[in-house]
Amino acid sequence: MTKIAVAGKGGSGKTTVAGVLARLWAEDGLDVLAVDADANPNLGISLGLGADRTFDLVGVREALLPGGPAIASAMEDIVDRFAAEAGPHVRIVQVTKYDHFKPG
Amino acid sequence: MLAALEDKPGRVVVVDLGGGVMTVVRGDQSQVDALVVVVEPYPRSAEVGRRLLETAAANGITRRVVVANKIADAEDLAALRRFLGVEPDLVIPADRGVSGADRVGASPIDHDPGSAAVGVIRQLASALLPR
Amino acid sequence: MRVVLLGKGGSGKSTLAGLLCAELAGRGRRVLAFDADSVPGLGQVLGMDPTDDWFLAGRAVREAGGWTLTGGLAATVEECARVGPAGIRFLQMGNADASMKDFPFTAERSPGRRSGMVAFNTVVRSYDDEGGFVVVDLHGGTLQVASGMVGTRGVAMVVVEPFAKSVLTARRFAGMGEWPAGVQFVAVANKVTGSEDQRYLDDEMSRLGIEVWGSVPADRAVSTAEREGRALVSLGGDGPARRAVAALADRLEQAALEPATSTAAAP
Repeated sequence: MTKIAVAGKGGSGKTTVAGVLARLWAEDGLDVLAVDADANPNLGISLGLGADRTFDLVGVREALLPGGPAIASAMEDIVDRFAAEAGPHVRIVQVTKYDHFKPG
Repeated sequence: MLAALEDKPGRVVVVDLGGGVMTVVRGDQSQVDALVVVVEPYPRSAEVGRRLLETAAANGITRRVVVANKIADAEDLAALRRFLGVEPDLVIPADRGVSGADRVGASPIDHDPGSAAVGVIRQLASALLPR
Repeated sequence: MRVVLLGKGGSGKSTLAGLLCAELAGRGRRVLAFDADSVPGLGQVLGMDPTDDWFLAGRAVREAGGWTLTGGLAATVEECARVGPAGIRFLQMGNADASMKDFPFTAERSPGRRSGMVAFNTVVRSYDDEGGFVVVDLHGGTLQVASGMVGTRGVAMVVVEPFAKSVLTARRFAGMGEWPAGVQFVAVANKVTGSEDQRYLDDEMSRLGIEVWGSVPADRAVSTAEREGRALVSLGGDGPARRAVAALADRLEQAALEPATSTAAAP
């Protein structure tokens, strides 16, 4: 398993590069998991999911926060539950999304 | 999370770390095989890039690839070298195909797969994962 | 009055914040600028010293289950703000780099920095200037806004570029929940290159129910200055961006006179 991380200042094009890389590797037949660790996630758009589907993706962390009932027994289960298909051989999972005011 | 994923052969995990330095500063991706740092030819973008490279090295990420992005001309490239202090490994040109894709919320690989920018990212893909 | 700039990273918050600070200072207004980004953004645009670090280290102290600012809010700002070009006073959180390996700072390992972060967040969240302007440049993205860094009054201005990801970010802000009653959440279009761009943004913002208070065109003078690394606070000239920022400043001055967003009406 190979793990590649992409970073840069906001607006530099890192998400575009990450998304296109993921799609290229998927085209080559590799089993790609795209992980969006940005608290304001846009990777779905660069993968080709479109704005609406990207907006609707659920963050993994939200579902696993203390206070939530069950926790998946293995990371693979979590990925299976939360990952969305973004094309042949590529799925995307968002880690977390800060899109609501925190209480208190 | 990365550590808990199954080590399947033929599997690639691509992580978008988000803008800025904080994710790398926190140091929880030292198990990545490579870090790609994307920089534009402006001082603030290069400064973040510089700090990312320094922090990644300090945190044990041995393979670091610098990608210059949205380079319109020789002046842009010179500016980037001046601000960043290192030679980029790859240069992605300013590309209407990409800005067109950005505008409509599409991926450049769908919107303009033959574009120069996608071509350079293809080179990056090969460099990171030689087939 | 507080003016807080939010938006997707790269949309032009720091640039716009800097141009706005320069415009308001040029009119003789008292301006205090907060750079809430962990790598200097607004600081660089204003021409501040890039090596300056952790202005508020040690200013917050633990007391009876909470934190208090040494000397109080006003004294903290008075004593710690640096004075920059055009008399603009400036505060930044700190400077994140490899030396921050011990982040998140704990009281045990980095008491000064931990205190500095708490102090800065407190100041950014609550400081206001009734007779002047407090311009806050937040980090790109939604995290700081979700954490309440916008505060409870003033203008929260989302900077939007004519691109889907930038609009998606604005959509997230619009769906955050109930904004504080004293905050006016509006948009400013940035890096607009033509009427098609303008129409696109007007449509999207209208769909989201966000009022657009200004539109700043893409401006060669600005992008050249940025590429040359020049601080924008001394941009000069009378280009399209400066004129648009002047119009935006007019709008903000108007808002400052209205009771809903001014300090005077605070409960």
